[in-house]
Amino acid sequence: MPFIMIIYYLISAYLLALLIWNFIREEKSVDQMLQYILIMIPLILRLFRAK
Amino acid sequence: MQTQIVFTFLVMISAYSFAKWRKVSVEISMFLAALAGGIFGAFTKTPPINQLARHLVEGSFAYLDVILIFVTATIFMAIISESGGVNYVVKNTIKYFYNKRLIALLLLMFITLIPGALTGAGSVSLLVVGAPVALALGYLGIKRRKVAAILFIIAGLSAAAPPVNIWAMILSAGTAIPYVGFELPLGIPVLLLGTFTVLTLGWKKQEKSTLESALKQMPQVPKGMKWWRVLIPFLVFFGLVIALRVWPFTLPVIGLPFQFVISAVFALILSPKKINIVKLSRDTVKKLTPLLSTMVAVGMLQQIMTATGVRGLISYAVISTPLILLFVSLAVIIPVSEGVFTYGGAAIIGIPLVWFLDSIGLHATVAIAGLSLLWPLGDGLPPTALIGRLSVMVSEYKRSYWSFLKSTWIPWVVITVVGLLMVIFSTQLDFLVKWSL
Amino acid sequence: MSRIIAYKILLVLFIGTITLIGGLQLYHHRHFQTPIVAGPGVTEVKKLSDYGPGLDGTITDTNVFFLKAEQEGGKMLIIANTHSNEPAALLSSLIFLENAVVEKGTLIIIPQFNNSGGRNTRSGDGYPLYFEIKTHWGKKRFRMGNRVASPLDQWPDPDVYVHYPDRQLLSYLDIRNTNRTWPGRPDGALMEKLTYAAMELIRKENVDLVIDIHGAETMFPVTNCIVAPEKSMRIATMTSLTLKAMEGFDNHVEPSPSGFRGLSHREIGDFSDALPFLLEAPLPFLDQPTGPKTEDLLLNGKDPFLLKLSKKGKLFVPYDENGWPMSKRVGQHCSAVLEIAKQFTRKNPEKALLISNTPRYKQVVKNGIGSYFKDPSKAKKENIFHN
Ligand SMILES: [Zn+2]
Repeated sequence: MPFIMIIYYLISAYLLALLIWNFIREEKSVDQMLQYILIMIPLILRLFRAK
Repeated sequence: MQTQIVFTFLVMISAYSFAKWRKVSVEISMFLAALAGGIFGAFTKTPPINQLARHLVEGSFAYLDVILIFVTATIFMAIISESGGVNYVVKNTIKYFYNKRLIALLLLMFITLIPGALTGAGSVSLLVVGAPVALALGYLGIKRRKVAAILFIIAGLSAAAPPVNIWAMILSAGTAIPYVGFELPLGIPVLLLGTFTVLTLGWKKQEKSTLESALKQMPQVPKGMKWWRVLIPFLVFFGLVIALRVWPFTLPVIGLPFQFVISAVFALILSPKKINIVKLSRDTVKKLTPLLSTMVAVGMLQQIMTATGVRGLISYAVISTPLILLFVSLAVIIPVSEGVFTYGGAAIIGIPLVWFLDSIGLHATVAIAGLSLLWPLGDGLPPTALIGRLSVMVSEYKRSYWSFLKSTWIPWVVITVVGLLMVIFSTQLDFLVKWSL
Repeated sequence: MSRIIAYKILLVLFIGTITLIGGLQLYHHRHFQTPIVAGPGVTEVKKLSDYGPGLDGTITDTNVFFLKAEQEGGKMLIIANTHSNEPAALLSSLIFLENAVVEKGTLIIIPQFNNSGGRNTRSGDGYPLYFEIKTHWGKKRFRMGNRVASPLDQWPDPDVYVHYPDRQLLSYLDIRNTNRTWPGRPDGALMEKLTYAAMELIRKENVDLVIDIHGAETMFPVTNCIVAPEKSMRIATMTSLTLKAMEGFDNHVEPSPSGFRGLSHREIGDFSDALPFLLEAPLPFLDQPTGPKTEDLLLNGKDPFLLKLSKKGKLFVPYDENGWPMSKRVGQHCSAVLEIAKQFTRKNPEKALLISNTPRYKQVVKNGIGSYFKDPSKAKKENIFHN
């Protein structure tokens, strides 16, 4: 895999980690939790190289 | 088949309205509308039920790259802000140009335009520079209501400004029209309309103030902040943009997100105070979540609408509307679609519209540029009113939302007229595209 | 507190299930194989990576089939799946690949040119993942691909794509579009390497004719036509006239614009001695104002909205209740390819290209596409190819 593509997987992983962290810390809004988890969908599947 | 499609559309509208009524956010309401439409469509196998999950997941990818641009660009701007760079620039603008009102207003306009122009999101402008710019405008003797109005219009224009204009990107991607040549067709109207806005709303000094009291009240700038510490990260970013165009065959493709990451590293190193990057990123992502989840939900909605035929129905309706009626109704339809779907409006109404305008011989690039001036106005309309609410918030305007919205009417009308004229006379304006290339 | 945790678990389960199901389906789509049965005419199978650097071992590398006659003659290259969401191209190329016998000259076929695009799906456009063609031995299943290569193979996109070598600015998306990356370069982005390897093949094998097969919207003016640059214009015009006169279907000629770079019908002609042609057949599935994007719409092209628009004169092709069945589109392509070879042979008898055992328009429409596909379970193992 080219170097720059690896960077993009790292950027995606970093964003995913931040979203998971925010998701875990969220204490009130179910709406907000669902938003975090929706954004995770494409990130997770990109990291698993499904799409 | 047509009845089924109309019913699917009604189901989606009902699901959306019901969710909104139960105080669910716009983003999740759109997701629920997509889900409901998909389930209803499955009764006629459009799409088959076993494909529903796949359609939702596939749709979520439609704007993944845009999401990465949002995140990296906003983290970059947040670092600049956190390091004191934004306050430094705003404070110096007031300090040196307090008595040169024209220059001060134009500089503050530029400062507000930059973050949105780089990210394509007016909300980033308001999140990053909104508060200090609002303070500065207040010190120039402008009433809060007008400050909010100026911020709303300029933030909207910043989203339309090149290089990143999400509406134009969505429309180009959906219609196979190259996303190139937008610099002048977008840049010139944005600058002219922005100048017009700050001058009509901000020229008159309505409240008394003095330079000393203004400077005293402005937020502190960290010691050691120097102009080059602010400038260099931006030079790095624009340097990369230019270098990649000048030497495209020797440099590898880097992509906007990584360009922002590189610039962010410079901003981090040059910051006079220490910044906790992990905490800053986490807070930025939290603030950005509505935008990011909008992009995911819009992609899903778009996918389900196409798979069920609803998008085809809307497209058919657009194509079948008489031309003059269509142009007049755009002034209302486009902002309302933005108010309801945010960026989804561009995908749902805009893509079929641009296909149609292209097929009747209008210049697609100029027409897209003109349309994308109208969409940001919708960010002041409920239910979302994303930019409108943020403008009121950062300018600390306490009266009713409608009184704020009313005060935007002059630039609103002018922007609408300019946008529509750009669409109608797009063929005559195609030199703007040629000069951009 | 515990209620919040319960919500969290519920949401993870709910969205997790959707992600898992959808993700697995997309993963399987990317790795799904359609067996191709090499016909009696196939003499050699190479890889495109034999001609250019950077493709070897990647999913982008693709099979190149040679159908070489004992007698030397003209050489024709057929490229299909440049855009993998225009499947009439793949089906037409497979009819040649599984049936054609070349009596004079050489036929070279790349049935899955943008293999990465063929394993990609189009986000936001609600396509089916697969489509099936009926044959006498069962159904043959194909992947429905995307117009551009997968970001899994080429990521990121630039903010603007600068075309090599003309420096024309193109949309960022087009750097993954193999009908915008011609003539390519050996050290560029992956899709530029792909088109570069194809250019090298054309130059090294001294190919005379290159036919790139596509499909286009009925509301798009460049449809149902042969696109040709100046140097191919004579043959294209003769082909179009003959097809109209002898087989009764329209296929007008569109000149290749010289100012729009990166397209096969422009760059192949400019960067080699070959004569390029690009075939377009109507593809109602790609039109905007259609009903649901179903497999049926893809295969039969019947749509109520398009029918209404056709009555208002908004389409660029004839359209009625019968839609545009796939067999008509594939039949048109088969006839056009054979006719181009014939017209070339008439002008250049010393470089004759004679192809037999391949159906023309009327036969494909009558017998169906599937009747030309061989049963892979009955074929010899060495004749079955996967990409
Ligand atoms: Zn095509």
